[in-house]
Amino acid sequence: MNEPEFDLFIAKVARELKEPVELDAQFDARVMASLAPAVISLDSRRAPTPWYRRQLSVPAPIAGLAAAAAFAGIAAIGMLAREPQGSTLAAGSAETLVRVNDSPDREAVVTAPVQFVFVAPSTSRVELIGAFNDWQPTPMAFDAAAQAWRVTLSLPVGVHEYQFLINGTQHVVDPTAPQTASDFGSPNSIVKVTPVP
Amino acid sequence: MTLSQGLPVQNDDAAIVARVLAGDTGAYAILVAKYRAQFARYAVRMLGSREDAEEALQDALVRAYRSLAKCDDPERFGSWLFRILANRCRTTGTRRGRREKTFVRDEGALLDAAHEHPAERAAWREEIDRALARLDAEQREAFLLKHVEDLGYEEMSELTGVGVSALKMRVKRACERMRVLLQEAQG
Repeated sequence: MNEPEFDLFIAKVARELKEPVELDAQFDARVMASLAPAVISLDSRRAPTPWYRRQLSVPAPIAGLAAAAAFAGIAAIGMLAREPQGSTLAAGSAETLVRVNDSPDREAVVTAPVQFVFVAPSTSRVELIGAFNDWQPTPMAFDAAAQAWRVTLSLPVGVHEYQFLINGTQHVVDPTAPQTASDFGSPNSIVKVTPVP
Repeated sequence: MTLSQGLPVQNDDAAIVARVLAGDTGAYAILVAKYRAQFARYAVRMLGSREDAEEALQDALVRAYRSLAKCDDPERFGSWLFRILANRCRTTGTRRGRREKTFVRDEGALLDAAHEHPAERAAWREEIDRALARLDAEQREAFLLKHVEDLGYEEMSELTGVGVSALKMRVKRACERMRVLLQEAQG
């Protein structure tokens, strides 16, 4: 289809629609105020399910993703449920988030250790990025025995989004974890952190 | 492909993004102030409600902030933010189905046009808003991107994920529909 010729009528309509619109005078302040506080999940206010009773099976679509990752020389075994240090298993789904005020009398943030594991023996560097570290890379250590990269973080109870960063450039989701839709061109993996009983 | 016609590409943005990522949260206010006017206009026209538009724009700005480290090309922060906003507007439009059909009247802008009768221009403007609201969301999006945001078809394709031919068809049909609706309104 060729470009349509200049249309005076449409140009007149567009001129009206190009007029600026006024926003609330406090708009900028509202945006800036909403950046700072941490977020936790409403789930933290509910009675938690003990980690040893949580579902450990891998959904079928995820098995397919794992196969795809293995083809590329990368496979993830995700978060291990029965690590000696009692790491929290990564599984769950998106939750409604609630903002926590920074007032002194707020509830204390409950945290739990979470181990992230990524199998990529031929990779020189793997880092963890997520909402919990403001998407700033956290280095992962290579475990030669397991041929896997590991890092354990203490995360607030709730739902967190994350990815693995390979060699500082390649963003990879965790094929063993649920994913969330993303506006940014690629999905994020989700880890749901529950309190350690 | 370089987005060069309607979407902002600013070297300064990369420096501001770097400051924010280094911990200077306040620097993000510069980006908010820089892009809010253009992007608010798009959101208002797309959603037909100033309240929804402010909510969508605020959400897009906060999402962008929280994912700033994932912005692969900070010089094109504006394009990246606009993509987030366009997606957000799509989601809002789908969820609400434009049931409310709220029309925005910018009295200040209308009265600025001293060369025309304010009442006539206000009526014309309202007819445009009504006609725009009667387009389906895909046509409205294509129309606004092409004729209000002045994007090229390649840019629109990159932004929406829709092929150039399909976008041209949407714009063509949107123009035809706008013409019919406005001519009907003017009797």
